Amino acid sequence: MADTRPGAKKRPAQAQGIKALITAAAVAATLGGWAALSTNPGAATAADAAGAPTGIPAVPTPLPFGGRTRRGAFSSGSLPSTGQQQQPFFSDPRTGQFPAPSARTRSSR
Amino acid sequence: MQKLAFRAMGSEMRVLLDGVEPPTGNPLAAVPDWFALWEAVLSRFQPSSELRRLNARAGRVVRVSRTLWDVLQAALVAARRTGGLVTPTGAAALEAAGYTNSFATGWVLTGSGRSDAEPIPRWQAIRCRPRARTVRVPAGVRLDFGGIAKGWAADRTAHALVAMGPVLVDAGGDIRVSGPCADRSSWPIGVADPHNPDRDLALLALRHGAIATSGRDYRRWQQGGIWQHHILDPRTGRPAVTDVLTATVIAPTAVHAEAAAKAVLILGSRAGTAWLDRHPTLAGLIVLDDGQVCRSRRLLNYYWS
Repeated sequence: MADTRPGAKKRPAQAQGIKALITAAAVAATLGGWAALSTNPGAATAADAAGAPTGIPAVPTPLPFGGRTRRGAFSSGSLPSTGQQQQPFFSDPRTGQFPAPSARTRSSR
Repeated sequence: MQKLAFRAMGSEMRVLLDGVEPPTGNPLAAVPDWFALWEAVLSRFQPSSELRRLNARAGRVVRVSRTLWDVLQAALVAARRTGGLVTPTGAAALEAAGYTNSFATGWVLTGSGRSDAEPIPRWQAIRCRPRARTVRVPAGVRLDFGGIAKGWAADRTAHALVAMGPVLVDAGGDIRVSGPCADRSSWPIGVADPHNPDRDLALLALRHGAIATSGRDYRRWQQGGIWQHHILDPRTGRPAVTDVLTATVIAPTAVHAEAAAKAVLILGSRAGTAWLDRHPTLAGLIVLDDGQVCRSRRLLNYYWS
């Protein structure tokens, strides 16, 4: 809508044309950029390597997780993401992967 | 590896020495005698113990032995670090809840104490004079060191044996190591599953410090048809009402680990985990009544790998 207030200046037709030209150029550049990315996966990888967010949420406070574990079973699969590298709780000492405990902590008896 | 197992302080004790076996004599032979001497000083159940004599003289200034002094100071430090959640002033409340005999006797405890429990007296009211090594327990208050005494004994034993080689002391589940094993590896420590004590919930690697577990799964009894346990909430004077069945904590010393585990149990899983995360020297694993497991942020640093 035209500004009809007293003293308002009318924009020259030439300026309006330049604005339309710039808008069209920006749209074209954006579309071109998407096309380039879609054919060049390495561009996204490079962005990630430069520190772009990966979308993995960090959970600052540990939460209850999992259920009871059985001796000889890995339980890391039941852990929620905490933003840290997960490790299995333990492995069956009988497999030889981990040693038998030197001692076991439990409530005093 | 030289090993020793014996019973003391109502619990099973084990000592592992990862050193070169001497040509003659057993370097661990004297350890049970140490524990017997400490128990004679610190026990709430032995009628002739120094602690019992101190409690009988509440309200008066009493000079105490070096052992009792050291354990009391450790207990007071634990009380300060836990904001009073772990306090040595709870003997009367324990007895009121029915804990009147040692579990070592195998008795079923069915005390008929008072039902109108009150908050446990404040630990700050205990007066200590280091130079004279005297203590004044407020009138009407009696002391009980509980797990702090076992933790102190584990710390003391590890310190006394370290010259002979790397040592692990297991005082009824409160475990202290003097440092890494002789080959510089960590000690592998299992965390027992309270729902199935023959199984381990985790295998942890301990190079320094201590680990202890506090729980409602063993030292419990019925009073008036209601299950009681030995971990009292000082704010109520009653057995703690909590969703935590057992709390296991890694700390620099066994005393610290024992106190922290008890504090976590009293606080409950959510507040207990947050409390652990606020203390840089602590890490813990919590087992709930329904079998769920919670861990503090730093526990991952200790998983065996």
